[in-house]
Amino acid sequence: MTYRLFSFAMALFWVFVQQTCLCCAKWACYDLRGTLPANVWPAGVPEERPRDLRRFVLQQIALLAALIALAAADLWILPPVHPHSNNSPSLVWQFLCTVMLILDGGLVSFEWRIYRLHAVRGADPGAAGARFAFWWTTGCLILYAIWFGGALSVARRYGLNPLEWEFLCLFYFRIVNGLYLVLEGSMGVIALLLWRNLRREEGRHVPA
Amino acid sequence: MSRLDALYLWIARWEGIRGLLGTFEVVTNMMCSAADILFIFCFLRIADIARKEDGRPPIRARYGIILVFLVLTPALLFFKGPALMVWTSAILGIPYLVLAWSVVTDVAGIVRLIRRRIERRGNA
Repeated sequence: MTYRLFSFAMALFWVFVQQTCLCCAKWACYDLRGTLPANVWPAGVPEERPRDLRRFVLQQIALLAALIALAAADLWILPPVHPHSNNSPSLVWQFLCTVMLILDGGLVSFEWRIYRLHAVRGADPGAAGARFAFWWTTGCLILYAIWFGGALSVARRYGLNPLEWEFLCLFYFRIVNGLYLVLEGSMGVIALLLWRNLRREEGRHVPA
Repeated sequence: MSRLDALYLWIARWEGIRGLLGTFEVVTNMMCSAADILFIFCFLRIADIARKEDGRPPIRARYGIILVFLVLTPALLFFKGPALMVWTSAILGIPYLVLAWSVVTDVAGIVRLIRRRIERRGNA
């Protein structure tokens, strides 16, 4: 139980860090959007900056609270798929890992937007970023639903034992880990490109 | 039996799956740690440019912390099971803390820097 509690606490801490970065990145995008010429803003879209940001922060708080509640329920209330001493066979744990993947996708989307706002004059890839975030979230949730829908069905029909079920969960976690790696690598590359651009400009600018 | 069922059963019952999953775990954890550290390093470099233009002191200790954890990353090769989870939490988690701290303290300066650069180009 102590180990499971520790794992959940670590994962929820990572979610909290991701959400902190997301809120800061969203604020940064809104602030930098103000540098765009008026004709780049989407027609008819009102400037809802404070309200929009507040809503986003509240959504993140609600998501974290829901995840904490789910983790607590998984630890102390929900009946386990089978008795286990680690979190791998838990569907809640796997869902938490999927949520972390979704949040990472959001971070990549915001980071790309900040990079493009700086690199390309008068262009706002906000709509493309929002589309990416939407489809990424949908894709991750579909992956989770399809994988575990199939896994539960196979486990029931073929009478998988606890260890075999755990392997199915671990395999899903490795897929998620692979996708994390793609996202983390992308974040690193985008940050590297932004740093390179800012450093080049630094040579052409003497600070006041 | 459908192909999907066969895939699930292969994953669940193949005798070499434990070794394969264990290897993937260590390799992906190490690569994620390295990618994270690359991202945090670039973020700190950008923050340093912003700090320089704002006349604030450069970052020092945070580079040291991420260097220590970059050096420690290969140590993940020597752990498995719960010990791997604990060490991964430390090796990924502490640089993550550095990132969270840096984002909160330096994002405003970075945004000011990028805004100045965009506006200067607009005026040129």
